[in-house]
Amino acid sequence: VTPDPLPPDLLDLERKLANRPQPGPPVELRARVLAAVSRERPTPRAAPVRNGFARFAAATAAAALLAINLSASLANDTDWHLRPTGPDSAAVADRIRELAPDLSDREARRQALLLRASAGLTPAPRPAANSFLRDRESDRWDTP
Amino acid sequence: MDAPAGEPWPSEPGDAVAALYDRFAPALYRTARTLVGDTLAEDAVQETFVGLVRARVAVTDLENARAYLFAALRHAAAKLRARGGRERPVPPDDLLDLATPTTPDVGRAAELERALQSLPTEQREVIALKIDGGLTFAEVAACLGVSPNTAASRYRYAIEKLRAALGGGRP
Repeated sequence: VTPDPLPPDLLDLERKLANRPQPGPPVELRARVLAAVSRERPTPRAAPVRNGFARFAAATAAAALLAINLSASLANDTDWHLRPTGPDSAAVADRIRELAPDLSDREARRQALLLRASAGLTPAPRPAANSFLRDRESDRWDTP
Repeated sequence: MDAPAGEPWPSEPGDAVAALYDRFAPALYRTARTLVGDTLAEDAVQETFVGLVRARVAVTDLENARAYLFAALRHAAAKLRARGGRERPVPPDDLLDLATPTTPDVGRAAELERALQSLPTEQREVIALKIDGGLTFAEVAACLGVSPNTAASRYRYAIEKLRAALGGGRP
């Protein structure tokens, strides 16, 4: 941009403006500005440390909950139904054949397997008879 | 101009603001004094640098930083004015401390300062950025968000008005 040149009197005024006495910034302003800037600038390691602590706390809480849960399970001698219980499928198939002699062997075995599978559909942990959290008297009567 | 073009940005972020301050603070402070007066000039300069960090501006070199800083200074000054900080003209007595001029010089400088402070903000801005900040018309235009021609004509009009305020003629 090359604006029209100023007339001499305005040039003179411009020169006076440029040369007018002006103080520099106070010496203490530098420290004040840099201090304000450092307060504003996020500490580079602050966020990771906070994040790391949160993760550590979460992991500790999760481990504590797991330990409490397992301890309670052990103390209650909890049965997780991880292994099949009751009569094996062959005995069930024999029983089915007795009740329905017209079923083929294959169908009887299939029905036996289905019965066993459906029997294990409820994996709810059942406290054992010696559980200190369960009334032993009622445990005696809860099986049909 | 306080900074050479294309000078590399300091590698350490902690040193970057200090380097910027050392280079540009004198011009920024002069500009701020003209924009908001003596008292608020320090606040305006501080807000300018704090804003630079707060905005996390990626400044690749000092030339870009200069353009950003003067634009930020103008915004900071406007914010301080809007916040209710009253503009205080530079007290003529302060000029006594600047040098040891003769009494007529002090009188003329004080008169010039008063005339400058009497200008409307829009005109004072263009004079502050051009003369105190040392910006080109293109840079002034970028700071003000106007075309370079508008910045140049606004500057000329401001100088004419200043001359009139000093009793030198029209308008």
